[in-house]
Amino acid sequence: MEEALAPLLPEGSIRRGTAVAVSGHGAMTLAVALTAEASRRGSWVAAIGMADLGVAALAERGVDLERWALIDLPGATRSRSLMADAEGAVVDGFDLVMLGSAARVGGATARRLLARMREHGASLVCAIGGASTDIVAGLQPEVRLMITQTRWTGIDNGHGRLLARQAEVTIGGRGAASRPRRMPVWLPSEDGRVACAELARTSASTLDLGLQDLRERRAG
Amino acid sequence: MMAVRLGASHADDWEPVAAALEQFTPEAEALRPGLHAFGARGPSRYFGGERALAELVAKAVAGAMPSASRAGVGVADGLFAAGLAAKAASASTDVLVVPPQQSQPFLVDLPLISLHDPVSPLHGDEDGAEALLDVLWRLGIRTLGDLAALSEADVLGRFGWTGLLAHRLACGLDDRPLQTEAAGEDAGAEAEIDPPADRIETVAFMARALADTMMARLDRDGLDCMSVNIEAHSDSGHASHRRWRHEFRFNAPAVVDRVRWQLEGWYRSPERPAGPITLIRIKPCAVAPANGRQLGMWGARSEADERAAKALARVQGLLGAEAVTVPHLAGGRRPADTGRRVPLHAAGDADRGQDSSATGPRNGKKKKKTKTKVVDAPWAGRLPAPSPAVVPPQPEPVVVTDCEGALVTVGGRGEASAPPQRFTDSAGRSQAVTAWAGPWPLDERWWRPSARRRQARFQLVLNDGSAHLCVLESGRWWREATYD
Repeated sequence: MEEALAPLLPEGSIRRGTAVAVSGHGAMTLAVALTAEASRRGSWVAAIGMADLGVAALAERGVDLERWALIDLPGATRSRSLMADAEGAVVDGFDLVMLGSAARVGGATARRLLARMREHGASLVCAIGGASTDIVAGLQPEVRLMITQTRWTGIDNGHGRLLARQAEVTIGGRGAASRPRRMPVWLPSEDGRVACAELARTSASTLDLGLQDLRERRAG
Repeated sequence: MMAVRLGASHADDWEPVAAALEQFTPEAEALRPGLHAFGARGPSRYFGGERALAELVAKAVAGAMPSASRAGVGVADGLFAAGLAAKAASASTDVLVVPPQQSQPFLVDLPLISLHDPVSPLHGDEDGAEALLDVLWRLGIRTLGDLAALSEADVLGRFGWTGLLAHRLACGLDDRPLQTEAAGEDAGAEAEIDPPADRIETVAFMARALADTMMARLDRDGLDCMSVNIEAHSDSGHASHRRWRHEFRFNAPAVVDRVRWQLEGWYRSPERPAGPITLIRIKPCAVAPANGRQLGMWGARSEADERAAKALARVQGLLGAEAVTVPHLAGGRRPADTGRRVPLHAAGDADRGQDSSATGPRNGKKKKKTKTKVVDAPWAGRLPAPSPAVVPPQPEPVVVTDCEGALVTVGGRGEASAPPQRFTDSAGRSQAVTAWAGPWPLDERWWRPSARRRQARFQLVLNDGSAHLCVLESGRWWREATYD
């Protein structure tokens, strides 16, 4: 779990066997950022039903592309049970699974998937974009991250270019996350990082303090 | 050894070629679709010499190929030299016979990268073959002749077993004679498929289990397998029987690839089976003692890697091999070019294909370097980060109008006719444009009229806060990507 995003989740990371739903404009960027650290540490990530995921953006989030697999579900020609089997197989083999809005899971399928996730300790990140979080209700997402407001900077009327995006994320969900909170997040910031806004500002000084602490301890 | 090689564009139609070779020898082997080899000594005696045989084979192959394509036939002492001779032949004369004991003079001027050719045992990256080629290249060794000129003892001392193999290949000494003995015979495995399978993926999934069984038996006996027989029977009584040779040695996934290739070729051929597949049989037919090259106790694949690989194989079995892709960065200017999706089973070849123009050999480290080089090369006109997170496979037609409702266009001087005011997507939903930037012109491949593309790109931020990359091409607007 990316440290810069830890404040978004009640436990600072995605709990194994649970799902996180990300919705709103910028859901794809935030969802990928949530998985980036895990893939860098050697976990495999599978993205199901995300035929439109931008690979260049994936790399910019610092994802280890060699540990990513993309699984397409060419919709209508596939039977639902086949899709459910495929999703189940992925959950069996991967620590972290991303689900796009093309992968609809509901009812009994969702319950079975959830049971397999718990059994294997796999986590799910659902990037559902503009769709209602109801479509993943069956997966009982423990945390819901709703991107409610976004503002792009660097672009004007005919000038500049897209540079950075400030977003406000409303955090809701079950258990520890049931009390809604709001948090400003860079999606991404000017230096290309996806991070909670306060943390991004203070990260440099925190680092300095940490180094000073280390020096003092060494001296002592 | 005689090698037959088809041009890459026709490699898919290899099955008739393999059938044509059967009139010359019962022991033709396929290395991969479009690359076939057999021992030439026996047949050449019967058909009146190596050159006469090679010409007959070239004619038969040309007759078997429906389209006008080039195939090369090469003859040499060993498979490596024969394969490279076939490659040279396909570029010029169709037939190239390297006389006995003359392999080394033939190989002398070939570039070092020839050791990376599909006919070479160093084709893959096992045992650090790519690292070896990279070091040799940096030491100034450019041709096989340069390598052969080194002392064998020095090469062995410095580069170990892999280096010795490379040196022997460069000297025209091919270590792998054709083996037809029955060792390892009992390691074969077969499975009846019940209910009969009409999808290649289903068969491939079963073949994986067979291949695992076979490799486990060979491991138990301390054997490596260079060549397998694959047999498939169909409901209608047809059978496909091919022998596959691996340029180095088989592992289970490589066997499954061959099963897939064989069935794909079979289904494409005129003698395609009428019914579903009922039986699949895999048998090793050339084995050698495994010479102590075992996987490291660490640094090999982790348990997580194995689990993921198994899950992906299962998904491929359910949804088809093409359903699983891996992301891959490539050079380019447009979002659809910079990030590609490579089918999983071709992922290992992805870099290879891309770097075919590169002059130097590569290794694992170098591969990354080369990749970075291509990706980070100054693709003038590429939009800087952030890149769009959503890139649909096909751009969506949209309409962008100015305040008077007229379509926004871009003039010859690269200026927008008017500020974009409204954006309407293909579903008819319309929104106000709150901020925009551009146009950035893109004129690609202007040197080839048929492939030329001229575009003007805009970034548009809409009322709901979403941002999109839109392009104007030949008077029409497209949404190419979304900064989601």
